[in-house]
Amino acid sequence: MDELILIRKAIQGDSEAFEQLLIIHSDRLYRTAYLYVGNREDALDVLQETAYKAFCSIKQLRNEEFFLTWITRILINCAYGVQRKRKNVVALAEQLTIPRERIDEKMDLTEAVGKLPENYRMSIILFYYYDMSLKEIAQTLNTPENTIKTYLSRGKKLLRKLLGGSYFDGQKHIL
Amino acid sequence: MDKNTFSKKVNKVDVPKEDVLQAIKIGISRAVEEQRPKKRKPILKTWIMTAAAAGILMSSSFIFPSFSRVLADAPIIGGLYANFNDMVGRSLEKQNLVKELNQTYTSNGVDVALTSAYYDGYLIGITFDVKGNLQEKDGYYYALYELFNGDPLADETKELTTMTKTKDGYTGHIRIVYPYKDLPKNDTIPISFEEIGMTRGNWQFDVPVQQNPIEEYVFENKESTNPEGDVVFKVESVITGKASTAITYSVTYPKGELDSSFAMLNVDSNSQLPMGGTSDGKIDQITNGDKTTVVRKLVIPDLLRNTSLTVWPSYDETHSPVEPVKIDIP
Repeated sequence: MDELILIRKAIQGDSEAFEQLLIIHSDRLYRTAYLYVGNREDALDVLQETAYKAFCSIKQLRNEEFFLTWITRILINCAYGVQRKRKNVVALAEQLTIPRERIDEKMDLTEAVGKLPENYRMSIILFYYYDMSLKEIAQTLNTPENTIKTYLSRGKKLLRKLLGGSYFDGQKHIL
Repeated sequence: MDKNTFSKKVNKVDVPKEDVLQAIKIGISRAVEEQRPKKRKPILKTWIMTAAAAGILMSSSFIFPSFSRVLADAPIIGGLYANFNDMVGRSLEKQNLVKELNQTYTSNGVDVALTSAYYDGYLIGITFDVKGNLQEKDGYYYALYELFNGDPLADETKELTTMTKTKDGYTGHIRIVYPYKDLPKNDTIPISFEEIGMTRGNWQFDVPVQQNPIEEYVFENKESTNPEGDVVFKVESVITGKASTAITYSVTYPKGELDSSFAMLNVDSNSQLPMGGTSDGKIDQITNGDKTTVVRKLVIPDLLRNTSLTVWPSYDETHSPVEPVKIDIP
């Protein structure tokens, strides 16, 4: 499909073209948001905020080929924003309720990814879900490649711990 | 775990399609609304006028029964265009200015029938029905088509549209902004569909269109420059159809320096402009010595009358902006 045409039209301010672009990538964007915030309502909020912020700043997209990377970065920032808000609410709620003992049960992958520190989580999502190379991730996050390597390696170790056993033992790619 | 397994796991997260679409639409509408310059609305005046109009309407329908009948007959939302987000199509349909078509073409087991067309100012709208076994992609049925035989001189010729399911097939809608500078009264638009619902094929049509009467206001001396004087902005004309308005303008700049950097023309208006559907595109480019002049048109999917607009172009920040220009549409 000729996505480049849609991107060009969107940069010129065509809101319908922009909507179509987001529709094309909607599944991936929604799922990425879900990995961050862990529930449907917040993921939809993140998506709405992403559509809003991205269309406000689409004119700044210099390289059309990096549309997906560009919008993913916006989505991540929006997800952080929603998460920060939620943390404040959770912290307040915890003060008001009697602490419970954590039930130690096996987590599923999406939940476990959501538990990772922000930097690790981002690197893991871009590497495994967006199939980006180390170089591309480094460019997207504006972070040196070696740091991304470290994030990925630590992220995987943590995931393995959270998921238990040999569930996450994919060392075969680069690391 | 490898990338594939990871993706498979993540892809198991259910996507609430309708809600996702809604979130995207709301987000974009918020941005469009915010980008539009704020207007000072005479709220009280509008309210009184609306109340008065409602009063007159109600009382007149008691006095003149024929008026009530007309109100009952008036479609709230147009028939064909009820399914599509095309305010121009809906408006023209109410004015009986949408022409019915009956052209069909079959390729690879998929039938395409063009059902209607309109041509208003720079805008051309076409509706079509599809029958066949279509495949969806990411939850949507797409049609990819090429216009004007892919003419490299036209600004955009390859487009994508989504179709919706109907009782006995699918229905879709194309809206084209006429890509050339001179608008013919009658034309035949070549359209070929290349892919419909993941089926590749070749569905070719020549769509005859006849333009609704237009009015053109040509401006003299509606121009401005930037402080350095190396960019000149000139509003050339306003063309109104029966449900749309186009502003043609030109920008002259040092050769090669602002090419491909133009965004949509900024418009500040004292009346409400429609949300979305506005488009801006190049219709001509002339290089003369060390200067380039690009001619563009902004198409607004609404009929603007008796209003003032302030307009100015956006381009690469390497050159300072030109002064806005105020124009009056009679």
